[in-house]
Amino acid sequence: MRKGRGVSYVVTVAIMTAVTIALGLFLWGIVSGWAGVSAIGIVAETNKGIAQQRSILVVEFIDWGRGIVWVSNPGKVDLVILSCAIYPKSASPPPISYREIARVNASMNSAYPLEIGSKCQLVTGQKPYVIEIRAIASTIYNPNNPLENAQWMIMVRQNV
Amino acid sequence: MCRRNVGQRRGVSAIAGGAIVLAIFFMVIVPLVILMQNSYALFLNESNSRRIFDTDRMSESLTVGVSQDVITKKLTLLLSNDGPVNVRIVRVWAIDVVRQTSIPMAKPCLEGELLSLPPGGNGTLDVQTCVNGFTGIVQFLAVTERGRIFSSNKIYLKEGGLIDIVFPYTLTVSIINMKKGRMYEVYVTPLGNGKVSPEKFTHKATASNENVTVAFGIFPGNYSVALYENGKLVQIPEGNPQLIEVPDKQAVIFILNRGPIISLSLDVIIIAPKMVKEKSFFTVEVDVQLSDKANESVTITSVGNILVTSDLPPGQFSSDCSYYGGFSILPGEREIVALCSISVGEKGTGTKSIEISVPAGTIYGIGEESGISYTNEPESTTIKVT
Repeated sequence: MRKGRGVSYVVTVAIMTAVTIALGLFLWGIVSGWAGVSAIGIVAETNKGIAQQRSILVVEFIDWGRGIVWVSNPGKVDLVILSCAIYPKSASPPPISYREIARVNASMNSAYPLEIGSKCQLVTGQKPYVIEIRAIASTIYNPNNPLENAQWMIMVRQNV
Repeated sequence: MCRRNVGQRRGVSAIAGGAIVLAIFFMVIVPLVILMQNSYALFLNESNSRRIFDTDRMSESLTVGVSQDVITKKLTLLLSNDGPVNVRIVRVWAIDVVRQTSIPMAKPCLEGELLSLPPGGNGTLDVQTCVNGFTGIVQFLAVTERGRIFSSNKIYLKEGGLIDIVFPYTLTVSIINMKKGRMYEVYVTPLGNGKVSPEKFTHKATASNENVTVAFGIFPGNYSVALYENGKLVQIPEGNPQLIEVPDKQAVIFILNRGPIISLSLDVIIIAPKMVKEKSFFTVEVDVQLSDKANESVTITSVGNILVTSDLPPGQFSSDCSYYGGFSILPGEREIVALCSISVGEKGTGTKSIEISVPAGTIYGIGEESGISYTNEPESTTIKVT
């Protein structure tokens, strides 16, 4: 009898220990999962912020004779141009549809043409005009959903 | 024995639980915090890098001039880095200003690593190939590596070369009665197809009531001629800006609302004691002062005799005056013109006095700008001898 009582204590301790370890491992798993998801989120958000910081677009010259807007990218990341519109300064901006218009590599070795009409929307009216170009870093651009990281886009707006 | 064993084993789960909590802390929470800090540091580093880039970009300054080689007759861009950072030119556009299109083709005039200019450095680029055979108005745009664009003046080209335009008419613009120290700007702006050179004239008046006349080469047409004083449009009865049609009108005169220079009397100041004792010696100083309302400086050319008279007994009074002239005084300024040494002997009975008088016209000056005369009003003072 005494022997049996001793065994039950051992079993009780073993069971309690096992339960504790199981609960601990469960908690560990939960916390690890949360931490992993948070880490991925933090890294992703940081990358988007950095991509935006690296994005710069310049409108070099508008060739009104040929209908071409020349842009270049002095930044550190390739850009995807999502919208381009030229409209009278006194008027409201036209409705914008976001789509991949052109890719501009991060290099000042060349300027990229955006044809007025096909790639750059022109709203005629009273001068002066304003050009508005929206672009996003190619590293955070999703071709299937161009507006996925729209809050990290850059906008170039200047008088022309 | 059994109780002791149970008591010892009770702590096993506590130890296991504690170990797991510690493991969670050090293997999950701590790396997560480090990752967050690292991400934040990376973002700050990138923001800082962008800030430095933007500062450098805004610090870029480039002067773009166009010139023609005297010997080869090639059109050359003169680039001068007058900013504090190194500037690298990566592209040059040649623009047909009238048509707002690039020449000669739909691409930059020059492209690639063209020129790198250190602060204060100068360089040239041959742009003749871009404008060969072109006739019209051209402007060049220089694009830097940081994305800044600097433009040249607009120039007239004829078959790819600079031409000297001969203007058929001359427009003269006169500004009368300028105020000393003010900056005057004349803008002649074509209203339509006219052409004028230069379009702006700047002059700083170095003297009061200064007049200036400037000539502009001009083509027939309608123009607006505006005069600014220290950046503000001048209000005059004739109207400003004035609208003219060349060749019907080829002269514009802006008479500013200021009176002509008029002569003011010179103020005489006699510095003398009110009272002196007999058997004494003293000096009297005579100064001249130009009113601060005067519009010009005056040169004191001559100083006449200053009268020193006394009712002292004969032989008991003597005076000797020294006169100074040939100097210039500014409005509000005061200078000495005479210094008289007076010696007084015994006065005898009764009250005696010495009178110092400067008659009208004793001090004579000439206005340095107008040439008109300035003289003094009479002035006198009496010194009692006790």
